[in-house]
Amino acid sequence: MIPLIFLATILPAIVSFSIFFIKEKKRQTIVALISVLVSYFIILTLFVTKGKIKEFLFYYSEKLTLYSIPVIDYIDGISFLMITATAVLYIAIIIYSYSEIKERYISYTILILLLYTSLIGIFVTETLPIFYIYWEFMLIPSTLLILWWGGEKRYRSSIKFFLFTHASSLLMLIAIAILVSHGIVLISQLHSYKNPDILYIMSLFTIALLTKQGIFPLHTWLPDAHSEAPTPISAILSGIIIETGGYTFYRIVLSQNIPQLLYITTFLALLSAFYGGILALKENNVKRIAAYSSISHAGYIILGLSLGGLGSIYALIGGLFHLLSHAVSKGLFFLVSGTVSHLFKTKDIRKMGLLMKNTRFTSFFGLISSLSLAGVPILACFPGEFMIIVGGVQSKYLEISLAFVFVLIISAAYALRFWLKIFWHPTDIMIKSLPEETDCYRVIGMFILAVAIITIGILFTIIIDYLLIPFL
Amino acid sequence: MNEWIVLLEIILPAFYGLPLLIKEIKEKNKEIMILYVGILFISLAILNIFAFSGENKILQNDILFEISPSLRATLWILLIFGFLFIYEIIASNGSHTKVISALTLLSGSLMLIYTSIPFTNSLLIKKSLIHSILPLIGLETMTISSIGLYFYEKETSIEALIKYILTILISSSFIVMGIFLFFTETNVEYILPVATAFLITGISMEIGLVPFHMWLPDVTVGAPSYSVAYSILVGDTSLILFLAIFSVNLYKIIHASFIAIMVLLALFSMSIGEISALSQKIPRRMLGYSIISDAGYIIVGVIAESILQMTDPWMISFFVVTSNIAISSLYIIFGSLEQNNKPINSNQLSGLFVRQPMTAILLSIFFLSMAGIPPFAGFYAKLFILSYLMETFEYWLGYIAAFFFLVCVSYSLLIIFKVASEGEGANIKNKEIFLPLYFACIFLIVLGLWPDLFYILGGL
Repeated sequence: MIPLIFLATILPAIVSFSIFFIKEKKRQTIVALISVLVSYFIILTLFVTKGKIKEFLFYYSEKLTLYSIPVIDYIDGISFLMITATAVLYIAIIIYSYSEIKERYISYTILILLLYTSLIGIFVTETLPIFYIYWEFMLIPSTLLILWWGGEKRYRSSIKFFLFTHASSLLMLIAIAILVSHGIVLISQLHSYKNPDILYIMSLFTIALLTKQGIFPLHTWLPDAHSEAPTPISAILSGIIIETGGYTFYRIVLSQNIPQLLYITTFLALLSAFYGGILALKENNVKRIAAYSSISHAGYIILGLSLGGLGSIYALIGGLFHLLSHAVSKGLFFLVSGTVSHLFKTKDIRKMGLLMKNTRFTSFFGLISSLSLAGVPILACFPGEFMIIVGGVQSKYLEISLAFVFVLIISAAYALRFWLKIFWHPTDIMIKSLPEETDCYRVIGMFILAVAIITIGILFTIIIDYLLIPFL
Repeated sequence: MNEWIVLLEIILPAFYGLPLLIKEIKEKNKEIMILYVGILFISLAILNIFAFSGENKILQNDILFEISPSLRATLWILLIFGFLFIYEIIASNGSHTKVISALTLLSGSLMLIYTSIPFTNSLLIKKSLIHSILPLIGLETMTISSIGLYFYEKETSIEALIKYILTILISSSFIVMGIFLFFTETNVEYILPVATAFLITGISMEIGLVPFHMWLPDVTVGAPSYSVAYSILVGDTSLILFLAIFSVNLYKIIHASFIAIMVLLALFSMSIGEISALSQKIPRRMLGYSIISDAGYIIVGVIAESILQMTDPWMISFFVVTSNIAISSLYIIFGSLEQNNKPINSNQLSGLFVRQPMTAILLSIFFLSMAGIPPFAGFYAKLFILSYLMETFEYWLGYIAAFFFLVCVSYSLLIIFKVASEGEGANIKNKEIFLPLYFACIFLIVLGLWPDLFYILGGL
């Protein structure tokens, strides 16, 4: 039987090479969209028909690795949730990129499809060395995407992004090497590892994952990379790539009960949520506002997961749910930021304003994303944030819940400031002529994510009941 | 194993080169030359299969040639890529003397690989002069042929060559001294560590470990790039495997002094190699230092395998093969970009992706593999080193190695970014050189996705 999960994972990468032979830009976009949809459809069918499944591929012989390593892929509700978030975001950004990317479109499409494969690989792989392969491979297309289609400081940003995340990943490699040397080669075997050095191993994992997640003080690569990347890539970086840190944190670090480590991550997560929020409130560059907001929301996710590890099921569900809701909300926030900076030909929020008059669609999408990030009910981010607060109270960390509420106020402040400054508020500098509405491809891209935000916000109980709770 | 066939396999390349001296063959075109060399490599592959499939035949009372599965896997790769890199010599208009030297080097290399296990056994179990002399013959054959390969009518090249010859002469004397000391019957416990030190120092000089590395960057810049590429792939690989085989065995008797020497050599080589590479502007010199640091990682691997008493050096073979294929391919690319025989600097690589995307992609893949980034084979090489170290609980050495992996990533990334940036620079005009590079690239990707292929080659 063909290993279907593996097929779904590598399909976009294989299809990407056929794009070399397609001349029309529109056809290249359609092929990229179809490859993502087919890949997602395979995973959807498998999940709907079989639920939680594992698929054995082959063994690595013990001659080279000391232990024979089985290569296994799996899908459960949580990985399916992440794959869904990735697919939705990808469909939106592929359509958006049709207008946004003017040069070397073939290379761009190939790279984003390779990135898609590596992202899906991270969500479905059970084998630790293979997980690391996908994890590190993700860096190559994402770095090149920043380098070739990024802003003025793209060279510096991309090298910083690569080196920071790779340096932290080397710590993860050491941790994996220690586990492999003890015969632990699967993520599902981690809970059975009882050696005293587990704190040490998990600390190495945590540093790597928090760096990828952009948690203070390991976040320094994030504002530069996110603000210098082309808009669709910023959406992927912020929406999915940093979420891989949170997802892996749940899979690996929470597989062991290490409270001392989780206290530290809780503290850092809260600090990060504050730090990101305050800087987003002060920032005037639209894309950097979104980037700092990502640092803040990355803090929410790790806070929820850490409290979950400390015993609160609500916080755990909240943290996992926020992986999905943040992916779509921040994706839309970045697309709106990119669109307005494209319309105004500047990234400075002080030189924008009154845009709602001419651009009804973009302003509506801006409002949806801002309100979602502000934690307004019936939009995507509210359920996750609410459950994290409840989780803090449930695990008797009332002070954490109170601090988190304060962070949410800051979050609401910068999100509304963003919207009011750009779309509503008269600016200090008079704008000579207001730009017109953006093109239909950008609008469709944003529309998909706006629909996703509202759908997730309304149907959150179904997602929690069917995708999260049965698989915890 | 049929030792008669193995002997034929060893000596055939050296003698096969001689007809190339004949004027008529010398003047034939490239295609004839490639066909001529191709026939040799097909014959070697057939001999290799027959040597292992038929009945066992030995030349003397004792076994003279022996090979483990990991060495056999390496041997197959040397034969395949040895041919491809000789093709590079011919395609790059290398003279017939270079081809003859390359074939002789292959003979020496085969001799070294086939005799390394009997040599080690003879030192420890049954002292035998013939077993000690055979690898020496292999080493000296490699040295002489390397001189032929490295020779280039350029002032800097000749200076580098003289440096190389002097170093190799001293190293040979150290190796001979080491071997003779093993034959001492009295004061064995006192003499053995000294003999080991002599042997390790001699081999360290040949593979360019710090502090015996001075010749290596100069030679890699001064000599023709195709010669350097071939020499690294065939010569360096066999020397390192030779070192790995006897190190693992010698560890059984003199572990304390052995570990001390090896750790120092590894630390100095990794640090000086990587940090010096980072500061280089000429990519060929950068790679020269990278070879030194790779030798340091290999010594780390040797330490791990010695402690674990793994007599078959799978991990070392995998590392050295993947690393040397990537580095050799990079030498070919950099050499082909040169104009007027001047080594290019990194600024001349600007805009290569726009001008020659395929060259840029190949160059990036080789650098990424060298840096140990997945999904290329170099990643597994580095993972194996780290996991073997963790198995021995030498965590601190693992951290140091991981730090220098990062330095390697940094300079690799600088070159890749330079290639991807905009600007005017050099181009490759000779398209013939690409064929072996595509093979090397595919091999590194396949091995990176499926490292068991290496294991399968060992069982052929």
